[in-house]
Amino acid sequence: MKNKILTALLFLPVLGMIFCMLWLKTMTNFSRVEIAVSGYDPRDFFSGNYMNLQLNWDGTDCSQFKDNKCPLKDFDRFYHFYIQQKNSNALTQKVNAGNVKLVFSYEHGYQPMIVDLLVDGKSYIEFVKKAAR
Amino acid sequence: MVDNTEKKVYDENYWMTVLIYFASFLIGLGIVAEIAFNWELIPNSVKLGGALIAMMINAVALIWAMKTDKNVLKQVLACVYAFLIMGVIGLIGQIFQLKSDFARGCLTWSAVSWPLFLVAPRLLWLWLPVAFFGVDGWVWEARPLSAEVMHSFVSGSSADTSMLPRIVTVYCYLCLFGAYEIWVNFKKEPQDNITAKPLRFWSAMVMYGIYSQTVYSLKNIRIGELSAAHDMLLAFTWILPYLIFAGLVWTLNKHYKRVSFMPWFLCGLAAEFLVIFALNSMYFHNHYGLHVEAGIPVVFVTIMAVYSRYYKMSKLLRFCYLLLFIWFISVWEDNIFDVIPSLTGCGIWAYLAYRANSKRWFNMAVLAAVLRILGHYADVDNLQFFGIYLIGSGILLLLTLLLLKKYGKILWENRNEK
Repeated sequence: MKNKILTALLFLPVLGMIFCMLWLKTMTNFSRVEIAVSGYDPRDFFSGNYMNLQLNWDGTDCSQFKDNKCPLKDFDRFYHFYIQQKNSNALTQKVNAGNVKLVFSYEHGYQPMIVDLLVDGKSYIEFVKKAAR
Repeated sequence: MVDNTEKKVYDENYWMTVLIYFASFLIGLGIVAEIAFNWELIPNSVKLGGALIAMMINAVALIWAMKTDKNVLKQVLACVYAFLIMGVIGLIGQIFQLKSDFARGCLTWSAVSWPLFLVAPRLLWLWLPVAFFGVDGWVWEARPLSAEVMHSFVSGSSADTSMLPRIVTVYCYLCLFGAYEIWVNFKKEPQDNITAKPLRFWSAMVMYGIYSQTVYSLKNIRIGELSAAHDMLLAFTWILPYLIFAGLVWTLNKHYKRVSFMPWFLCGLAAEFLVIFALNSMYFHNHYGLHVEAGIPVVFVTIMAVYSRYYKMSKLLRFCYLLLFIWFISVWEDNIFDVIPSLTGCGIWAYLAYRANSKRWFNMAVLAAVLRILGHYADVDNLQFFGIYLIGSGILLLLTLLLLKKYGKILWENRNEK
């Protein structure tokens, strides 16, 4: 009996991670909004390199929100976007040129979730593939 | 410390076990670094699926090691599993672009990984600090108090001195909490009672949470600012840990004859923290420097080692040796000119140990040399290579341990024949 409980408990981390993934996946299914950003490039050992992006509400189209008002309070000031270190310089240039927007899954009352980064209007993964060529 | 660990492997080969854990730690950290490298061109679903499969394989292998009674493999797999979970949490954060919330990550990890120390009790040494950081960060909002202090210490900037007594108190309480956790989890229990340890563990965690929350609610209050009742409550939060600490020492000494490890270890730790804080304020004025910072821990560890040797506390003494060993590895500057003298030192150390017929010191010298070489090649700048390096180092260390165990016998038999 004791061994069976212990064996089952060893799968607790797997179940915990599956739960986290499903929960976060659900959170990314809300409507999409695009917000302009500016930022810089730090590093976190556990999750790798990221751009620390500050939301730029002046360059954001507020008509995509309810009543044409940007809901500043629903968002944090800074967001992380994880990138590979080799792409940081190219991306920093794009951010400085004002060509980068964060795409959020947004619903009032929930924590907005980042779903993509638009570089020159195209998805981040396309930017990476282009950089890899 | 209490002398009742479950498996003989710890008693017979304590050093080997500690180093096996260290090697597993390196492998696990390597996995985390590889995940952190952020393999952008691999689809997210493949990354997440792969991570889950890796976890399941690890869990199945661990169950197999348990059933076949392979103790060493069990420790290695449990430790690697713990780090793999840490890596997967990082991976989820990376894929879903979550904020780098260290405290929440620590809490999630400690909530899902605690069954591992039912399998490998010594994983508690990893679990405890992570859980501390998690609860600490959660209670003190995004930035843990411990991180605040660590940051001010590492950067050399001054912490808010008005917070100093409370910070020291919180750390003393952390030590106390750690002592309690270690004590209750290494106590002998009836074999069939599997729920007792987790229950005690989480109850202690709640205790710490309540205490920390009380301190947090008073964080912006200074003595004399509000009513006398507030002042008394504030004073109580400072005094309580010391009272409990004294009570714990008294109780332990009354009931257990060989328990003196814990109070003295904690005294050493608490004293070290105090000196670090004092030093931090001095360092801010740049009176001393890095040499003093490196020297302070070694002074305390040496005092603890001398004390434990005098009173024949073998486990505390081994722990002090391990700390001195880690200190030795970490303080040497990373360039080739320092590698040669340190390797020469290890060589002399090994030779003297061989002549003195001390197998333990000989093994330590060999391992110190291996670790020193590994330390020389560490490259933290590139996560991809650093991950491979860490995994390789862990495997190399495990191989060294196996070789020492297998061929060491021949070496010592030959010596004894001479």
